[in-house]
Amino acid sequence: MNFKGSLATLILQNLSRGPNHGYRIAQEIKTQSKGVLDFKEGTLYPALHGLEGKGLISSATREENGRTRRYYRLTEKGKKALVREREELLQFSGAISLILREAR
Amino acid sequence: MSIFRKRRAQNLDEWLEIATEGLAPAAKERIWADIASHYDEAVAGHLDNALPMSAAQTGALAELGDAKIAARRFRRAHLTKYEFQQVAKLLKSARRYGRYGLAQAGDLAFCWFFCSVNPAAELLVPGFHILRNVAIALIIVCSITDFVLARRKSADPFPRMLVLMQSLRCLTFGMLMLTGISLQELHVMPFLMTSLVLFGYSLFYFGLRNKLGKVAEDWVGEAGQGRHEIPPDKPVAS
Repeated sequence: MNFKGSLATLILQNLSRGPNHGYRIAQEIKTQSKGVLDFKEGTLYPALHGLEGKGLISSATREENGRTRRYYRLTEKGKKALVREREELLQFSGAISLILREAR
Repeated sequence: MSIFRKRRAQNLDEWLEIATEGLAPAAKERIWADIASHYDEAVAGHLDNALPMSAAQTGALAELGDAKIAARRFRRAHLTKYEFQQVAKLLKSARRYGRYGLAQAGDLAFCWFFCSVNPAAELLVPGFHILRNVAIALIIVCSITDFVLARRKSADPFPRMLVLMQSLRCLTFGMLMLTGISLQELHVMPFLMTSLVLFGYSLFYFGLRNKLGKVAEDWVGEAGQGRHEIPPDKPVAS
């Protein structure tokens, strides 16, 4: 499903539960949405790098089981942005579902 | 074989080549590390699900999606090679304090010459007098700011400022060229084309200045040591 524009919010939401690495972020978003939000994982990293550039998340590499993983974490600025964007997205999806329910 | 045939990645290296084409060295390095690590995790995940190695690799590559779409998005999130080179050039010239000072003097001399050979009385459009005065004021501001920046031992913390000054300088010269259009004895087209090109450069540098604020890591190394910056040719004059 195309969810252009909301990937950033989903990433921020995922990171609000604690630091996470790219692969697991992708898997968790897919699992939580029961496979509906099935995006190409190559587009996750431009979004992550973009969020990092805006200062909404920060990253650091960590060695784990012989693998180097980059963990992303939400910054204070990111927490504020998440509250704002989550509210906007909920309002938006609420409005859409109201219209679609009426059309049934 | 058609030259318009879509280039598809057959393996991870090819995918990364396409996705990072034309990006700055530090951006490439970062993306290669991130995607390679992700790919390894995905392959391991598929192997855990009892897939054979080749199927696991194909699956992991397919999950990454179209490399060209990723490339377009990476170009928005990172500095391109061209943008990187432009910033490097500006920093390099700023470090050569003597030559930089000469360039500033050259800008001012050009400005003075342009205004003296095109006296205000000859301008056909009266509004262009204001444009020229604004341009002169801007070039003076740019020159002074650049001098202050170049006097510092290292201009590294100020690439955004230097790029902004370059944007203003292009805008100024574009404005000066535009005033040339209203001169009776000169051709309009060369002045118009030059000013348009300069306005284009001004916009490019302004965009680059905004982008630099978001892609700090492409420019300065993780430890703030400027890993990928171009080393100075000569020691900075004290």
